[in-house]
Amino acid sequence: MIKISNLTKEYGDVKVVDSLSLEVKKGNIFGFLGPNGAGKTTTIKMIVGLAQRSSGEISINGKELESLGSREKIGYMPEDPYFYEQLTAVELLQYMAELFKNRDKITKLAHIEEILELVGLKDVAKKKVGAFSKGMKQRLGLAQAIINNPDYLFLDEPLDGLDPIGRLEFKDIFLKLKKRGKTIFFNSHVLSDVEEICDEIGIINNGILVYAGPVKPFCQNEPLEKRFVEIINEQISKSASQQISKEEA
Amino acid sequence: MKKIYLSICFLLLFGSLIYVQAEYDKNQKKVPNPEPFVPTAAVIKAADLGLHNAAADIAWLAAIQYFGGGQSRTFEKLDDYLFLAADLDEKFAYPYAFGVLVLPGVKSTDEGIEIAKLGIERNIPDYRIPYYLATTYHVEKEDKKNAALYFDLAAKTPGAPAGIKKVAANYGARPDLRSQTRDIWQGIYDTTKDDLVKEKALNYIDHFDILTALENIAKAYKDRVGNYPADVDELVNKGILKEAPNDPFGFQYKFNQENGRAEIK
Amino acid sequence: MKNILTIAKNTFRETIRDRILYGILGFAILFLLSTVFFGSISLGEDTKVIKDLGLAGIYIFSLIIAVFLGSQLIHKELEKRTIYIILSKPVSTAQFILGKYLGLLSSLVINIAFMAIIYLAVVKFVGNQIDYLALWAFLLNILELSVFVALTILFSSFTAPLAGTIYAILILYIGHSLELLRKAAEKSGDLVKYLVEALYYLFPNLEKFNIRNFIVYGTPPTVAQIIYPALYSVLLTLILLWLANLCLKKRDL
Repeated sequence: MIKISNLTKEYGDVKVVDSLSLEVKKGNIFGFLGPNGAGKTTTIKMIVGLAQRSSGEISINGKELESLGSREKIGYMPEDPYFYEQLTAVELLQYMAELFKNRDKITKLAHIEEILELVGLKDVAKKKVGAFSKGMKQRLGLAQAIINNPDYLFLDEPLDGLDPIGRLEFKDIFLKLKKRGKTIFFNSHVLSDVEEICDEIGIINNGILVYAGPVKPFCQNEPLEKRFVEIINEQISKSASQQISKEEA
Repeated sequence: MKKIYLSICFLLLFGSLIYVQAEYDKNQKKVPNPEPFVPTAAVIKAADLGLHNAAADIAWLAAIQYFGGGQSRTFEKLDDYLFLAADLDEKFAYPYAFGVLVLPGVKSTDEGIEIAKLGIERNIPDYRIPYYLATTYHVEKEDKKNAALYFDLAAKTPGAPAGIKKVAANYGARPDLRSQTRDIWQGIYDTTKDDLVKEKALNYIDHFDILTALENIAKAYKDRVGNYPADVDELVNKGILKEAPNDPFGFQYKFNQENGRAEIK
Repeated sequence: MKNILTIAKNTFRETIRDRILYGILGFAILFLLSTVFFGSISLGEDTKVIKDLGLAGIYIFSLIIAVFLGSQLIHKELEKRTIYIILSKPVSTAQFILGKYLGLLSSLVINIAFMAIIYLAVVKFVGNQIDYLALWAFLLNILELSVFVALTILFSSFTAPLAGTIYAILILYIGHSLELLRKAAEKSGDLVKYLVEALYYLFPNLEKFNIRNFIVYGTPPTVAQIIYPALYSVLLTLILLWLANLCLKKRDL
């Protein structure tokens, strides 16, 4: 289980993430939604340790996320991933695999080829990454995130840049991974995909968590997109009136 | 139609460009090249990232280009270049030696002596420095005392070739100035790797050989005819010489009527 | 530490496949071959000229490669965010920096080895001698480059490549002029003298890595002239990389 308590990120006066608290059950697919600039990427970066949190706690399976060791069982895919252009796909995945303790098992060529096949890059395994298209880079991004057989996956806009077939394939992969017992936490602003595969969702706007919980009760038989826009607007008007009453006081 | 018009315009532009360049070059030939600016060693050392030897070599190459390039009329900066090379790399032997031999030819005899003495002061173990210094004292300054001193030093320098040692040992022992000087230059000719210096030495050697040959012919003439010829032209006119010998320094000779020595006209 | 070697290996791979590197190396080789020409117009000083210019050329070209590659190294990672996929793994920033440093240095050593072979061949061909003493110069060259690689990694971790390059060049010039500055300050007042002394010990004194000016005359370096620069290089490199690590840790990526 992933537990986030009062996670805050401040830049000067601005709170990019404001007292965020949520829980993700083990084996769930959790979709983290919000408009652009809401704080989704910052949140994920704090979870995987790329950004320092101003305050709050993050724990996975009861363990605090401080040491390097905690990253052995985590996979992360950045938004719009970039790679070392002169390496081939196989070389890159071997590079990534060698950074883990269980490197002896996961650097084996068979394992790497299996991963490449899973993400649909088997044919370009020996090609230099510099020549990859956006869609291929997305796939490679997912591949390096799962190379170490992590229990927890944190993916930032994983479906971005994929064509409809690609998106279908990815969603399939997520469901497969879920069947293997993995927990997936991903950011997205493509709501239709989220609707299909997520068990629970979290909605963030302006750094504040607006909703966290199961999808169906939230939707109340309406399309997710409609409900999403509704709740965002609600939150905007609520904070606007709060602002006005603050100024009046 | 428009394409032809544009092509003509382009050709005209290009033609004007070439014309302007040619006119500029014509004009530049009339303007004399200013003497180059030679920085001091201190300035170069501050900028050369510690690569003093390489900087000295570049100064040396610049000196050679300057000397051989014919851009300058007076070669007044040659000593600056040589001192620069010597100051950047104090152990660099050849600029000291080259300087003392070549600078007299461009009216910088004193600077030449100065640079050679600098090399000796810095204990450069190269026989050429004292030897060439002695040569210049002998040839340019007619200073036999200093010449003897430095020939001696050259002979004692480790690595001095046998020919050099011989010249030094014989200095002052031979009464005949001309053969003495010829031997000095022969010593340089035999030992230098420098084409420029070799040529200079050869010039002196040829010059002396021509003088000796002319005097021998004049003596034979006197024995036959009874008096020395007036000058070289007389020898040519009388068919004894096919043509006047080409003296490397361009001199023309007449003969002293009393002792038959060749003298410059 | 296996991670350091892994990162080093892949950094080496990445730089050695960079085509711009081969362009610079090509120029270096052309330069080395051109020293033969310069030797031929030196009125008999061929061997000295090709040795001096050759060693100087290798020095300058190796610096160009080091600064060019180094100033981009971390910055590119930050800008292109390739650093994300590394630091999200069980890899510390220290391992990352050490790995990058070793990878880049290895690449430089290969380059110098290449240029050294050409140099030795040219000297053998023209001067008919194998310049063993030059090998010491190459060793010290590498020790100096180590400092520069660490320096550019440090700059690269907090500033843009252009600024980092300019700083590196400034330090290069100051580093070679420290002795001259010290001598010039001898005539000045006490305050200036103390300032210059402080500067002298703070700035990397690069002249200690320079034995080119006497080895061409056949004088071998003494043990002290090798050991002290080696120690200096190792210590300075460690300090610079430590600072780089601090800078990188403080950054939000």
